[in-house]
Amino acid sequence: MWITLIYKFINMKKLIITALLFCGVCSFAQSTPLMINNYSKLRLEGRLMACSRINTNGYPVAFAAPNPPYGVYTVPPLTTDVEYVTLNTSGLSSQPILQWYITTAGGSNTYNYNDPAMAGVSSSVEWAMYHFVTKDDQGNGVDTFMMGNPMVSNMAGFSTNFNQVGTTAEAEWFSISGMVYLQVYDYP
Amino acid sequence: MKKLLTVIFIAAVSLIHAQNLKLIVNNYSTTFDFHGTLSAHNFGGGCYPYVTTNSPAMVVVPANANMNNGNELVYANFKDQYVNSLYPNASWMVQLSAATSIVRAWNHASIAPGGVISANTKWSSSQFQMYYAGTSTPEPSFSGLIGEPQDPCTGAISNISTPYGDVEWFNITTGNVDYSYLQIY
Amino acid sequence: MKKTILLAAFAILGLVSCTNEGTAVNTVSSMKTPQMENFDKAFKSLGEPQNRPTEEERKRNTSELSDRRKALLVPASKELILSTGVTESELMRKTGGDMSQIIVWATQIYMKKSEDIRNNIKAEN
Repeated sequence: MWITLIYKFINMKKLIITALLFCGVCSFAQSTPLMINNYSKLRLEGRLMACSRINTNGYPVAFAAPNPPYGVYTVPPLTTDVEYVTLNTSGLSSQPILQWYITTAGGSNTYNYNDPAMAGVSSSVEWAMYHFVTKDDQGNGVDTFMMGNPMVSNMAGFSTNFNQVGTTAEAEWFSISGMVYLQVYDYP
Repeated sequence: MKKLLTVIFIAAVSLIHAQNLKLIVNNYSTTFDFHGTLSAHNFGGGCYPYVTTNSPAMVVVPANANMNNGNELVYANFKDQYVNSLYPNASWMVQLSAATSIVRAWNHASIAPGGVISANTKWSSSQFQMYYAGTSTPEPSFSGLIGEPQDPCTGAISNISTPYGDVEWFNITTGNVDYSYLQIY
Repeated sequence: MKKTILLAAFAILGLVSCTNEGTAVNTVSSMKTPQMENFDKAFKSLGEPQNRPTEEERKRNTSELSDRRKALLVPASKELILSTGVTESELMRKTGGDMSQIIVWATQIYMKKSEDIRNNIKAEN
């Protein structure tokens, strides 16, 4: 247990040092933090995706693997401050994304979030989309939301919305000073 | 450790979390009613979110309504003003980007105190027109855009002097407290 | 809901009492302490010609009230703070004599007192 913690600490230190070294180009790095605030009573289940705003087909396109213990990437009801600072630190979030499905021109691969390959992916992409179904406490699907930044998601072939209103929920995707937010509220 | 990494990225961008803000409008003019929008926006780089009074858009603070008689306007945040203020605003126009704009009820989760939008906006300005007290007759020369000066998001100025009266906007700040005053003389 | 209606009713009452000076209605105005009165007057005095911002003050790149004008608010602020039972030494200890801190503290006291008065008026009516 302690060995694991020390190992994690050393890795974190490396990440922090790397982050600091790269801080000089922070303003140019495309990856910005994502914060998800689910103020609604519904569970959100779907596909969270980041991709490039510039490259053909949006490569690399990164889809989040399900966060444990779920079988699909899920944000539970009334769960706020779910934060992903970068893709390659996503395993540290309160809703950990431990793996990413990455597609590039060369093909598809699955990487652990902290795989060395993820550093390059992380700095090449922006948060693009969360395409999700809202589910009530019986597990019934209610609405489908296609939330994201169309200027980014379009590159990967997905059309998303900054605002969407469903039958029992509404969602908005926006950014403030470089941080991307997805917020979901009960509706009306 | 996670928090430390978060802080490195977030410290630079998060600015006004947990600030104690208030907007106070004191109308010391005995001749004119104040009609004006009241706006708040992000001062951290980029102007959005940008939030403005919507119901009513033009808030009316009558002649001689000020701290002296307890009739001043005080807005602490987008929500509590509805319950606490003498001049309640039932909804706010919220712009999260240049392209999006949506009306939110005073008690909508999106603009709740402590939430993201509330935490990233600060009172900035008012587009106002003074009217002869108790009438719908404006005094065209007694109007303008008053607010925090040197603000590229609004273009407001902090002092307006006219033959009919003066308007000023000033702040008193200390620690995490920032009180914005709009005073009409 | 009830609170909203009561507050709306008070708002109307407040406005009515503005225009019917001389009727014996309890208003915030009539129930304030002298220290609160002086605190209000200080803010109003910022509009007097000699207290308006100077050219130099206008040129500053900030809306923060200038020190010269903050000083106009400090005496009444101090008096209001002291009127709540705070001692002079406690005031100095807590604020270090900082003008902004003194004014903000007095403002918070003032607003609390105003709210209490409004609630008392509601309770009576």
